[in-house]
Amino acid sequence: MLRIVEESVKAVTPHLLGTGAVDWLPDADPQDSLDFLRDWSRSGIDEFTLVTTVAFLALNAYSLLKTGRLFPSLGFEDREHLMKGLFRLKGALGFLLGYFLGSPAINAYYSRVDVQVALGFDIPALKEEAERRQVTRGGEPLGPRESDDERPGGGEGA
Amino acid sequence: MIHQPESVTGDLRLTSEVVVIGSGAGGATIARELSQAGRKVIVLEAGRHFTRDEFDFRMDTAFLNMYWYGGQLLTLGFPAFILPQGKTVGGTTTINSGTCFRMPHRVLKRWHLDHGLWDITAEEMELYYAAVEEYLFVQKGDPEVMGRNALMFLDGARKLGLSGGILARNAKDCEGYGVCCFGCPSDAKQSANVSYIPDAVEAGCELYTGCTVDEIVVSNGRATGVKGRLEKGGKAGPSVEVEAGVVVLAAGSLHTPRMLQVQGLCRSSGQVGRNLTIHPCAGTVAVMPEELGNPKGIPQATYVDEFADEGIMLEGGTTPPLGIVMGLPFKGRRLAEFMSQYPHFGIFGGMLSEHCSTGRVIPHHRDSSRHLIFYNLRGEDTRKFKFMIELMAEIWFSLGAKTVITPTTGDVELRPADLGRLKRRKARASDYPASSAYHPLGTCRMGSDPASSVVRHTGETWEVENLFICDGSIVPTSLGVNPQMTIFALSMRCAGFIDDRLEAIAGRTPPAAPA
Repeated sequence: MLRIVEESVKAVTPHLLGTGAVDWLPDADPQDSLDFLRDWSRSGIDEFTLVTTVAFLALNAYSLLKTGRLFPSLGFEDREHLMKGLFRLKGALGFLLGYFLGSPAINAYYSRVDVQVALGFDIPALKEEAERRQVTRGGEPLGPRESDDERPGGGEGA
Repeated sequence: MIHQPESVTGDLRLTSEVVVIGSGAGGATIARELSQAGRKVIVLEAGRHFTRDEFDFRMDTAFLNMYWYGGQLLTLGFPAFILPQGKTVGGTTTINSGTCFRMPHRVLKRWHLDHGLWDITAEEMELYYAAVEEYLFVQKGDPEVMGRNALMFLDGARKLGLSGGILARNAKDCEGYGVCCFGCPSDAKQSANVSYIPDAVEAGCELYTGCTVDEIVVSNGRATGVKGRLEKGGKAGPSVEVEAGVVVLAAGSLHTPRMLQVQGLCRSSGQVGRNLTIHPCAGTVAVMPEELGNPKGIPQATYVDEFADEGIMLEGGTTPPLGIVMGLPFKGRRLAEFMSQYPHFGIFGGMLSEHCSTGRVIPHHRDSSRHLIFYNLRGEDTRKFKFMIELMAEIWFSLGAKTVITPTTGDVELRPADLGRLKRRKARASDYPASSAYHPLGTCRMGSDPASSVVRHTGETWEVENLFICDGSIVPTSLGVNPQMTIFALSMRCAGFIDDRLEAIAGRTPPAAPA
């Protein structure tokens, strides 16, 4: 992966995720975004990696055009200003550019267990419950839960 | 026994009566039926075997471990669709939502009239469906666990006079963990990895995972085995050769035609790789006044079928945060603020279940182990796609939604007053850049005429004796509903013909006359 792409993936992370906009959401780690892109590139198809690379090169070309500097070398405010301009792009092109620029950071951040727990998807509790309530094909039907408290969000079903 | 690649130390030279390529709905059914009939069966699966202990509720790890190309499979055309397909023991059944429908009678009638498949009768299919349903514990979802989201949407639809109901699913004691598509963590979902495959293995079937088949060996017009290789740590490992009386290709509607095309097999009809049907889908996210308990519930729990005859089915749901966020057009502060309302999200999707658009699968020009999928949404289908989105938005607004997010460029975030504008705008395929599609079918369609079909009604190819295809690729038309039950049922039917063929090969009965 090109070094400029790696640096841009990290630099763009807080601007794409809106870090700090919601105080109870955990902070983002830009390194997670880069790690995610590397994993994704290994298991995915070449074209996705290629398009993602092109998107980040386009971001830097836009940055050079607007500021005379590459995106990672800009200060936070300048990067934020530049990104806001990109977010205003309308139509399919704007969506796709945002999609490919945003994929590493957004996937990495919203994959995190702590982020999902903060949003109400309590993975550790559900996993614990699933381990207690395992199903076997030949087994008897599961009995009633020990109590409503056993189930995270218990009683919420209609 | 299930063999993971790490347990294989050298090249494999195996013999069996049947070798099956793929362990999804088609391959797993063949494996179980024939193994339990006393046949020696070897299954070769490209993906790996995972158990409930390894299912961690996470979409990202599921995509990396159990989906083809990390979930990045994309159609080429307008619009482009993400087309997620399973690459693991159990195939896509392991990572689907478990929705079960029988094929509508109108579809079978079309098979009869348009494809000459009179040998497949409604009465016979009913028997196969009934057997599969009993085996897979197919039943309607339990309202106690399906979550408020799905029930609320259904209620809203009914109040608008639309028909709908609770979906039947292949699940036993489902507790609604909301992550069917990432591997069921309690084994409640009766996907092939916890049903057909364990039963096949118990009956003596040998299953090799991480095995890519490169060649179907054909000698004098007959399939006699396969050659492939195991993948170890991302690299090509030991070679695998299986000599068999019958080869069953069950690699799914995308890889099955590719394999035939790469080898130049069964191509005289010109139909291999053509006639691809998929179900293009659109999702809507509504911001509701109340919390809905996401994502606890059943991802596909209720349906609205008022417009099923026109080819529109709504099915939903709930989805974990990551399943929502990638489809959103927001970035930065707006994204964080919107996602913070996740507990209030009403989530429901719809699919174009019957339509006139078809696509094509061809091998990738640089890498023959991959395919390219061409698919364009055509005029009338684009209009239906737009109507489907309007319908979902209308239902959400009738339930008091403040905002509805649609995948429509320029009308992404709708308030109730915006619905009229959405309805008035012209439908264009390029307006939907963030859509997904499911249920690829038809790329090796069966029929009664070798000039226009690839396989007979028995599943055997017209051109290569003892080569059977048993997966979604032989389904000649879009089904109008989720296809797994029909693939299970058709494969069960094919298993009988394969058993007959093995008898003939063994010289115990005269060869069956070609159908």
